[in-house]
Amino acid sequence: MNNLYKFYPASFLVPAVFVFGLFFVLPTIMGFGLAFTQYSVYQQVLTYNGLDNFKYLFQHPQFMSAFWNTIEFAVFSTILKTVIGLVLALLLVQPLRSGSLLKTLFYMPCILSPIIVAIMFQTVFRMDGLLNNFLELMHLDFLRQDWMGNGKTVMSTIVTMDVWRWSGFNMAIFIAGLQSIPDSFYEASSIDGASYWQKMIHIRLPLLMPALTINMTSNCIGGLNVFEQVLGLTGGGPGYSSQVIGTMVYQSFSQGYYGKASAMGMIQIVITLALGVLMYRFLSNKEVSY
Amino acid sequence: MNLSNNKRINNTVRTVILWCMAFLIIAPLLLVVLGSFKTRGDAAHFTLTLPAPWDFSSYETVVSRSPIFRSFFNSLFLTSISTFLVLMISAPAAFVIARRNNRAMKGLFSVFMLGIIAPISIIPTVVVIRALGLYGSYWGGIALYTARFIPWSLFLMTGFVKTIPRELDEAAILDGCSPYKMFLMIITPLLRSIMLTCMVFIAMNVWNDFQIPIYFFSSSEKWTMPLLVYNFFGQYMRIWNNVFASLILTALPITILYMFVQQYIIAGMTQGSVKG
Repeated sequence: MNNLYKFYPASFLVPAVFVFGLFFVLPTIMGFGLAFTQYSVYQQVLTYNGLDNFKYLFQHPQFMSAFWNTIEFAVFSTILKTVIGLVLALLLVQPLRSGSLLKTLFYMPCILSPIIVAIMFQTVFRMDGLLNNFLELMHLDFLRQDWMGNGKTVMSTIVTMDVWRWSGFNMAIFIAGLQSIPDSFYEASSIDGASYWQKMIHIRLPLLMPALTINMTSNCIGGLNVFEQVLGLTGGGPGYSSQVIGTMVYQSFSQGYYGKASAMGMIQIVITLALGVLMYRFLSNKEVSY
Repeated sequence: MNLSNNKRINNTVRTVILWCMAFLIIAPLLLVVLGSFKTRGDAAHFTLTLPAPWDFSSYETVVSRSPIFRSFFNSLFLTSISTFLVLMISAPAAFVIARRNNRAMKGLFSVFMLGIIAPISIIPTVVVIRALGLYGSYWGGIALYTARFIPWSLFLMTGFVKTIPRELDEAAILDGCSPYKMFLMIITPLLRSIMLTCMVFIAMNVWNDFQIPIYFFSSSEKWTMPLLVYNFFGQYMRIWNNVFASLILTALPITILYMFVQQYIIAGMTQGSVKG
């Protein structure tokens, strides 16, 4: 026991604790304090105002719409990235002549900066953009519309873009998971006469649970922290129809309402922590080992 | 015979489906690449046709009208210093956390893990950075990146340290090494592969990050490449060939890196999520 302290001195921990404490933990704790104050550019004195910021936000239709947009974005992007990633992985896990080239292509979007991707997707979803041009080419003119200018479709453009960016990453995690399943499991089940779907349900999916946990949890956390995607693609418009919590924080920050921005940030942190941890716990409890 | 025929059909079907999906990935990228070589008018048609005529003036505009080289070096500087600091700081911490492995260390580790899940609290972070006189400076950005990626690096390295036999430490100490010397001479060389993984993961994320520069670097001298491309877009909104060229030049460094060290990048990014 004594050796633990002699061999592994606490001084090794000091820089990490100091930097992380000062630049992450401290601001996070301060944020919980600032969220209950009036703090703004116009009123630099900190006055405690109780739950006023939260009451204000939860009665504010624009913030509420941003709140639900964030949840909607997280739910749909999490599901789509995971499902498409899984389909790609299942199609690619057995050897294929162009397999490695395809993997390279599918993975590539996630190495690009989100802001590059967002500007690029403006050219896809514009009224005169790539998607509408393609629909016209296919004689599907009736589907043409102003994807980013319509409040009903604007969130789906952001979801599509993020799914485009992250599906290949989900694929890579699933492929790693599939490759870790020993071949003997499949052989044994083939001898027992199991069909493709039986193997899928009884062997692959249960053993893919760790990969699923990782993908779903990180998709969910990433989804709730959505910010630059919206700023770069739609700027929150039209009107407020694609605002998310991240962009609302940016807006109140730019306008100088620091207390309110902190309250929003706090709501975002609490949701992300709660959902992230819950999801991780729930999914990792379902993991099995044979 | 029948079986192999089935397999061939199966492979063909898979290939067709996959290439259709790959087209969806490639199409927007292709639009940008082709568009950057078109004239201003042609680029605004947003079609996947070859440029006719080929026009390179957009690249000239980007290079001469925007501080692209400056941004490149800003990004390079921020990325390399932050990555280096994260590794330097987190390796010894991961070592002690993994070796002591008692309740206190597990608690500390969980606090660090919250840093992976929770987003950065912008306003109070600005307050702290301002109070330290770091607002708008490179060092402010470096401090924030370092703090943000220490948890990731700890997460990866702590798992890895547990695979290194403890007997090595004991032997070194019995031979009269101080803990510092033992860590530097015996443990650090063994951490090389995980450090490379962490390096790729952190460098990639810092290079592409947009949130910290937009909140913390207001002056254009400090702009990193993602911020440059965003502002360039704001300025040249309707001149799409220029915008495309700026997107290409911004994406180029990381794409080249991807082509050369693809397997490390995929390993680095996936292991960043899969428990190390």
